[in-house]
Amino acid sequence: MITFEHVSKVYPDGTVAAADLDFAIEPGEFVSIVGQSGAGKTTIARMIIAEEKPTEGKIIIGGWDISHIAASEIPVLRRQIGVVFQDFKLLKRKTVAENISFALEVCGAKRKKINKIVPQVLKIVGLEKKTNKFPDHLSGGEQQRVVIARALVHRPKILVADEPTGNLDTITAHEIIDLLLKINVLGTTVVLVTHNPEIVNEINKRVITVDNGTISSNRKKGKYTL
Amino acid sequence: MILALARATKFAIQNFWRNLWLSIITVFILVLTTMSITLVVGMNVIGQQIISAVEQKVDVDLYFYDNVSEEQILQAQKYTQTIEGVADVIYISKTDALAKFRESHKDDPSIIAALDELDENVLPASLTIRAKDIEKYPGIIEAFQKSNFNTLIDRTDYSDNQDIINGITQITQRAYQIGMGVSIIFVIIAIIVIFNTIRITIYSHREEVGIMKLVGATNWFVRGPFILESVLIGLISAFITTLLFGTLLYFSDATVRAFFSGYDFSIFVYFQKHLLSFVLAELAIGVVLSVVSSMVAINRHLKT
Repeated sequence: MITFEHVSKVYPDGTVAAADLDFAIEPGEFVSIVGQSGAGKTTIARMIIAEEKPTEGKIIIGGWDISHIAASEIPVLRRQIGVVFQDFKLLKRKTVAENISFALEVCGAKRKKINKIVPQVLKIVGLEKKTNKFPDHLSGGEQQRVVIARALVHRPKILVADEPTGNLDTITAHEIIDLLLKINVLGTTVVLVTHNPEIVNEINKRVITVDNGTISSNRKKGKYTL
Repeated sequence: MILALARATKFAIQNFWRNLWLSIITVFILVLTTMSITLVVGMNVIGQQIISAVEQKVDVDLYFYDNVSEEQILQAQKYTQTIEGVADVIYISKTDALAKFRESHKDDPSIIAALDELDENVLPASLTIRAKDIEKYPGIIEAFQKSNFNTLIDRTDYSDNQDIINGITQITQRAYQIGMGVSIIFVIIAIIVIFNTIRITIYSHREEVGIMKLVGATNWFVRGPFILESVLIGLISAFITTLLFGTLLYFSDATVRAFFSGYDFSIFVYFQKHLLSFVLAELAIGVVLSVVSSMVAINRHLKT
């Protein structure tokens, strides 16, 4: 469960990215966080993975208060949360398989386990034939699939996807969303940050709308409304 | 721990190989850096060696009156050898002195003709004193002057040599000071150059560092490959510098020998004798410079 208790985030230059956010996401939920550019959606995603710390309030993930998480504990948190970004964030000097196995190597997984898991997740995302390609030799959709595969290797309970379809064409975007829905069906909580109304309307699941750093609507099953 | 180290080593070699051009440029800059440090420090060392070779050439001659017997001179020689700081005392008889003089002026017919005109040998017998250290001469001369043998001496060339001795002592100290000063300036410039090169290299990987952290890598897991890559770059640079410097000394040895003819000094032989310490110094310079630079540079990108 992810809980935001009166969370605010003010940057040193005075910009208010989040103001008194108060909501909870239940285990296994698929939640879309929507809003216009600069509304504060990405700040929420960044705070969940401790890339940003709140200036006020509490963020609790699975009973763990990460509001003032120590630098040494951040890697432990990130190994439990899968993250997908709009700009993919793949290691360009590593192949598809190496990018995925890297996420396991950082937590000291044995080679035997890595050799077993990597082909499995590549199969889930449909990239088993691109194992030895470098990211620059893949299409945008394929790169995003690699990112999702990397996010899945730890079998995370939470998957945060920040504008995962932002750089993709409509057909590929739908494929990625289908994949995220499939992952959600398997029990993973998915937090999707997007400003794409078409996608949100098609998913037809919970929608949290953010405007100027505050929650303007929070519907259990909803459409994209501003 | 072993698994992490093995993985860091694998990533380091992979990074080095997959970024070959950047690696080659970093190695090149590091070689230039270590070469310039080595050249300055090396010149300093060679300068010291040459000065000490010149010092060994300095001696003091004591010229005896014509009426002094050979027996008295030999007694004076025996006494002088007991004075502290004396390395060697050589007796040159009147006959030896004449032979030496003829030998050194054999290409000057007017001097040889003048010698032939003389009925007797006008050259005095002498003792040549060599000290263990150039700074010992004043003490040795003072001790000799206090002895009874001093009355047998017609003249010495000590006052002539004193200027040379003082000059060399001064040059030695000055050369050392200047050498050290220049070395320090060069070392500082070299450190700044290599630090910035490595900083740029790591800056080009900043996105990669961010991604590693996002997927849960600890700071040490991120640092490890970069540090080991720096060690690898340092090792390669040290090897190339040693090879280049050795080759340079090998080919310049004949010229340097010719320049310092008369002094027993070969820079290549000196290099061979000190090869191990040279290699260790190169390794220390190369590895320490690159590792410290990369540690400082990478820490900037490990904040989040």
